[in-house]
Amino acid sequence: MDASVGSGIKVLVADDQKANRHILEVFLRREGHTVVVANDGAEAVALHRQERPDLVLMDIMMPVMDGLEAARLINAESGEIHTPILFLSMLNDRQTMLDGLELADDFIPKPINFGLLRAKLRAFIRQVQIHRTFRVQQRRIELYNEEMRRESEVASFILNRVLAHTEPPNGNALQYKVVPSALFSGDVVFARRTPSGRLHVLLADAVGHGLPAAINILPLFFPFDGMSRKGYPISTVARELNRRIRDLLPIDRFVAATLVSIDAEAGVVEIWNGGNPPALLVRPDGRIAERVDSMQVALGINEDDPALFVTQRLPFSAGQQLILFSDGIWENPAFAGEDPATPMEALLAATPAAERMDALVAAAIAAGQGDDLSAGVLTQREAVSGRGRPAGAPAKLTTDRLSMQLGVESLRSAGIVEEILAMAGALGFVAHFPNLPSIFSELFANALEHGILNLPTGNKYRSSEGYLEYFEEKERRLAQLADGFIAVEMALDCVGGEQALRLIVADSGSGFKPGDLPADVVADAAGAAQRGLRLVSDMALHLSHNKQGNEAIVLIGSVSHEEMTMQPSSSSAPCERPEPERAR
Amino acid sequence: MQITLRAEDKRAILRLTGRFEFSMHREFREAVDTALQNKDVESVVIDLAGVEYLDSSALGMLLMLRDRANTAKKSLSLASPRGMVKQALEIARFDKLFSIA
Repeated sequence: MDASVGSGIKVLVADDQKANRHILEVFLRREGHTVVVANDGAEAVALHRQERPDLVLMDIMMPVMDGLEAARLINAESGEIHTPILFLSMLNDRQTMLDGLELADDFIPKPINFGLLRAKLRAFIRQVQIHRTFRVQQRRIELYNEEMRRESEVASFILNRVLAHTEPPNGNALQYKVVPSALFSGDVVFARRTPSGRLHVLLADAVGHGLPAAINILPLFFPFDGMSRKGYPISTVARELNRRIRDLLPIDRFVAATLVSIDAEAGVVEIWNGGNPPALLVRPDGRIAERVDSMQVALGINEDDPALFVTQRLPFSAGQQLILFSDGIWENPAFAGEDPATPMEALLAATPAAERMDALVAAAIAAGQGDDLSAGVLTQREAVSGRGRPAGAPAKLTTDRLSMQLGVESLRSAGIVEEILAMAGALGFVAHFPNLPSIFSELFANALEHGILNLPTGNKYRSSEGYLEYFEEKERRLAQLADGFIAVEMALDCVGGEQALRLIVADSGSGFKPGDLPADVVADAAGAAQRGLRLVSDMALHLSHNKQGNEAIVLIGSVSHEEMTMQPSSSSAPCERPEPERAR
Repeated sequence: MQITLRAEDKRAILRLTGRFEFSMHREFREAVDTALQNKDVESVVIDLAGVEYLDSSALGMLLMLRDRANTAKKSLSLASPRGMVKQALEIARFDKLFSIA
């Protein structure tokens, strides 16, 4: 006999004959059970209610209330937890026995054969034990579920609060949708407008599904949001996100991400795609004009190397759309085939522009959703006339020069870069020279942080802590800054017979050591200043420095770098000055 | 999904078949451990020819393996991805992390 059967149970004995009660009570106690006794059916019902026995042994013929009625009531009161009932009765009472078996679990003939009773009890005790174990486990599961539910509620509250902070979809300009496959989504879309009006969008897809995936997404929100609010370029944002994910998540966890910056005024999109399906740039008719395939592995895998966060820029003209989605859509059976872009393009071309995002999501859901789904569609407004030139901006540049000198107070102002770019934008410089904001931001940051504030470049990006320390140090030095200035000049120029912008950023600092640049800087992943300069030199027609190293002179073309290599001179304005002025 | 481990000269070949996904986590890890602990083994090959599907957690498992192979100073390569598996590795740009033959 196993231990569980040996451990006693509580038995309710109901019999109107004192002798019978006594015999049973003695027998059961000797077997190790607890016994409660009732003199009739009514008492049995009351005691069952009070004592909750594991088993009932009951005579059928009893005064006040017979065993059948008592069994009926006990069954009714047992509820979920069934109490087995064994009837004790004379064998000759066949009809009563049959009625009894309708209500009870078994039948023991009188006079009682104790060998038989022991055997039957054993079977029922086993049943009672199984029920008990089952109830304990069921309760444990209930508690566990309850705990899960509460944890989910908290998690869901936090995630929703975070999501509530991101910019909501906005008409046709910004549409996005996330459809989780479980309660929580490992996919997310964040959006944030920069001070100069660029729109940053992040579509991210973390490994796995459900809550663990959703948690992996969380560390992305604050850097994305904060850096976008400050107007950092998406290459810098992507790099910071990579660092965060790498620092925080286990090695087998990563986050595929597409980062987009839309400059609707300038008609330019900038894209970084790490591990996500291609971003599709489609024409107003829904046909694919460009696709930006995954350039790098997902966030959280790579070393902190600036070369891995180089973005692609594309012109974004009236009515064009940039379509982003996670693999839940791209790998969905709805778009099965050698290249999912083919069936997808057919769907896009057959769907009105404003309904394309919903159509993609609906098609994926209809074909069977096995993964989190997310999609975003960014539409360039119709009012833009001409390639990359907003209707409101001057088609012809009327002002040819913007020049200023910024003193300590201006340098302390947090939004100074954006303010200057706003001025440049009002003159049409940003619309004509789409790379100006990125180049200016980099050069200005260099001039301020390294030229004026003498911050070292070495530790800036080594770790998240280093990054934070760096910015705290920057704030501290800015607050203590006694003198210094940065001079900025933007002037129209001519390069190779085509219009260009000459940008000069000079600072009152002592300049960097000659020979630092430019060939050997590529290898130095830690040198933030040099990284910035490499970016500038990639985006500009020409970059040079004065001898002292405190003045950068850049020539910026009227098209973005990639566009230049793709479609030479298609959108550049011819030069109006016969004698091009040489860069200083 | 099934994993068979075969040693050939100084190579350990893990042949996977079926669906490569999170439910395989333990089995994959055990096979990887066996392969990496074998002192005679200098390189590990993950043969994906028989894999018809792989999800993002499988990519995570490959990253884990890569990390452990680096630590054990053994070379690692992926072999013969087909169809959807090939596409998924392409999108994830795992060609930048693994040698894929």
